[in-house]
Amino acid sequence: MTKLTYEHIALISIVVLLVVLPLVTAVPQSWTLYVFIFCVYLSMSCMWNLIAGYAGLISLCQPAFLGLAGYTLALGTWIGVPWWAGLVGGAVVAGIFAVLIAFAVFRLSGVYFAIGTLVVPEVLRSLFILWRPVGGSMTGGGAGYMIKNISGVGINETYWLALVIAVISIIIFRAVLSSNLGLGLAAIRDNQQAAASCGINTFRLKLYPFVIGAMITGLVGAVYYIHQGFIEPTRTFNVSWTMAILLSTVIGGMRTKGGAMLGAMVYVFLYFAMARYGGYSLLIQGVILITILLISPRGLLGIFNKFSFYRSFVLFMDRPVLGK
Amino acid sequence: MISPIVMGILLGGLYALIAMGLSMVFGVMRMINLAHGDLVILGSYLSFALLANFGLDPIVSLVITVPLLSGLGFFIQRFLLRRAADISDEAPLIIAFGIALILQNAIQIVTDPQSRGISTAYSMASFSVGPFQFPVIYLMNFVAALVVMALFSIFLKKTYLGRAIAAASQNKKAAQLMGINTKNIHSAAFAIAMISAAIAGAFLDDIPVPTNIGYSIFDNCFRCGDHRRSGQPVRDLSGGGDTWSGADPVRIFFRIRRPDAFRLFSHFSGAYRET
Amino acid sequence: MAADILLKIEEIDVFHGSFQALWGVSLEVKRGEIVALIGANTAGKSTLLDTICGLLHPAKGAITFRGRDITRSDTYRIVDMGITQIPEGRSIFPEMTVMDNLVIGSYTPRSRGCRKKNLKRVFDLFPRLEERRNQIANTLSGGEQQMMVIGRGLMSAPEMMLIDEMSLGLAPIIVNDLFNILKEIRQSGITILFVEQNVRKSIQEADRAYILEKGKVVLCGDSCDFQEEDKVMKAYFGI
Repeated sequence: MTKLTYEHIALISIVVLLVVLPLVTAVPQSWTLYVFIFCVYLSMSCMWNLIAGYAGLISLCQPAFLGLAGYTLALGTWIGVPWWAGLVGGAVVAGIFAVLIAFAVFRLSGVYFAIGTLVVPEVLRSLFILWRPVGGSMTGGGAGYMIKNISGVGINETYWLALVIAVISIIIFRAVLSSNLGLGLAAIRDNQQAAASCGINTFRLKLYPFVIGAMITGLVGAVYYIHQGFIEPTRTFNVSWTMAILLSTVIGGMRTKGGAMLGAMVYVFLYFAMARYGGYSLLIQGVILITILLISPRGLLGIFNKFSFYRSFVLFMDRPVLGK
Repeated sequence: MISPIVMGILLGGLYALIAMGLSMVFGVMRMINLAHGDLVILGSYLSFALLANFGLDPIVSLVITVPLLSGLGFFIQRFLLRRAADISDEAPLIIAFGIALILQNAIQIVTDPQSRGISTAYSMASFSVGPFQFPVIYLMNFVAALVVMALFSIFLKKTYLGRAIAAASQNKKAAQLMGINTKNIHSAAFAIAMISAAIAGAFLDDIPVPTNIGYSIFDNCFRCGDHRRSGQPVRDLSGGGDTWSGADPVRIFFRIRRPDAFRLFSHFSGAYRET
Repeated sequence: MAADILLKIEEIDVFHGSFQALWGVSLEVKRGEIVALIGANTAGKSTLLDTICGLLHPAKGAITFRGRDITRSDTYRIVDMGITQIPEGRSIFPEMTVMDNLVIGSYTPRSRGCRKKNLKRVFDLFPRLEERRNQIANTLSGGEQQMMVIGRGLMSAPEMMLIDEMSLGLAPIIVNDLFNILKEIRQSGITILFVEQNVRKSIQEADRAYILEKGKVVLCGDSCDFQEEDKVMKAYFGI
């Protein structure tokens, strides 16, 4: 067990604050929505930062995982599976799917991996537009499915679920980085052949973060669809999800510990601030993405790191509360 | 069955032209230009705007769109991608993603998809081979694509710049040692890829509603575009695939979500479905 | 005498990232000379050649060619000034024909004009290449590929040729042929600096030699002096 630092205390108190947030009646309901969306993006970009930033797998198929989990949940509720079992089942399905496609896409590397994964959501979208496993001809396909029997799950419940998943994703992210797995991943990213010749099972090592990322992304995606109440293929298996994940990771800082958190915060702010401008919003997102990447490849955290007060702040946060 | 296969082959020429630009950039820079499809559509809209406002035939408007697009390509490479390439392997991909997003939305903001119906004198003409009828425009597209590709391959084989582009993609260090400024070569390759994009875009403009499909399907394409475009990659591969000859079929997928690309796909798939 | 010095390297330090590959290396090549650069693997020989060509830039020190400073020049300018490198490992353009490989050699503005003349010279030196001019470069044998790469270097009408490990992976009989051709090239007035691991052969062929070890010049002098310094040779190379 690592030592308790000021950073841990800060994070824990923020989480506690967020847990009680919806219970405080003075707080407007919209805040709950903001934090909910923030948690969804945070979990996803945390996992993407792990997969792409640290394992070097530029995965552009994250919509496939969240969509599959969402569909598992939705279809499950149609045949009488309770929503919580659907959540777990969704994550499992996403994980199994990740393993299956890994056999194909792990043969590719670098940009080829990116293209290989980019087409996966497109294929799934086609599939779910044609496939109507349950219900009549009026539902399913392009029209999508309602998620049934979730009357007991209100905004507060989905909010807490998302919060819990976000916390779990941060814990997993940090645990992986400080483990042998993180070390092996760094070795693979730098030189796969050299790593393989050192006896590292590169396939399995890359598979772990990929599958973990898929499961968490699926889980939080399913929670998102409980919140939304219905699911349809076009906006689910959509590149805009990839864009959101990419943007929040790159804005915050790829390959940084806190990048996903900062990035998701900024992204949610931008998302709601520019929501009324429609197409302009996406256009501005594109401009921001390019500008930040070119000015500071390590995102906003990279810019902050140039200031000494930020560096000393980080050092202070890393100090243990008790002991030396 | 004959008719859609022939039309597929004819249309495949256009795709091959688009893919050529993509593979030129990929071959030289090892970069997936996710924005290539959007740049083609930009070329298409530019020449459409020239047709609608000044009555310029899309083929004539190439005089304007080709320099415009290749200039844009040079700019993108010189000021965005070159710097991104120094950052990390995935940075150019992310930049291209951003450019795609900007172009896509800029085009959607500026244009009104419903107003696209003006066509040239020859766009409704057709020719017949035996019992089958084909739109003239498909043949024109095919021939134009072949001519442009032939010109490009002569350019690559016979000029110093073309050879330098090929050399830089095959062995970068040796190319530098031959006195080739590989950084400028990248800009040139990108600009040249954009020339092919502008040409492909102009010919996309000319694809009219095939007479054998009927207005209802055309209407459906717009209203339920999302539903209909879904199955298209599969159909496209089965129909237009013959002419790809080595071009990566995966590339087709990049074009699925473009407003006009899917119209094109829809027409094609509609023709396929009727038979 | 100073006018005779074609290439002068003064005290250069070169880094690969944070790893220092060359430590205060100095070297001089006079016009018309043939100079050998000898050393074991990782001694920094290829790094030195790449630095001369501008593929790498020294952190410290200066390089002058024909009296002009080229320390910070780009590769394409240096090549146009008349330095060509024959990179190691038969660095060909694999999917182009032999002819195209040669023609790309005359890419620099200075050499484009005399392309026909240079091509004839290359075909005179290597008649094999003329026979195979339309073959794809990948399908040539190792020796032929090396000939083609040397020919490609000659196409740029160089004043100076830097040759990196020409004999790598080739049969001794072909290596002998290639060294004979180097002599012919030299007689046509081209200065040569070549890198070799084969110490005996290099000393036989060269006028002068530099011995590099771990990024430093440990010995330099006329090759005839080296013959006498048997003890030094033993110490460094175990022969």
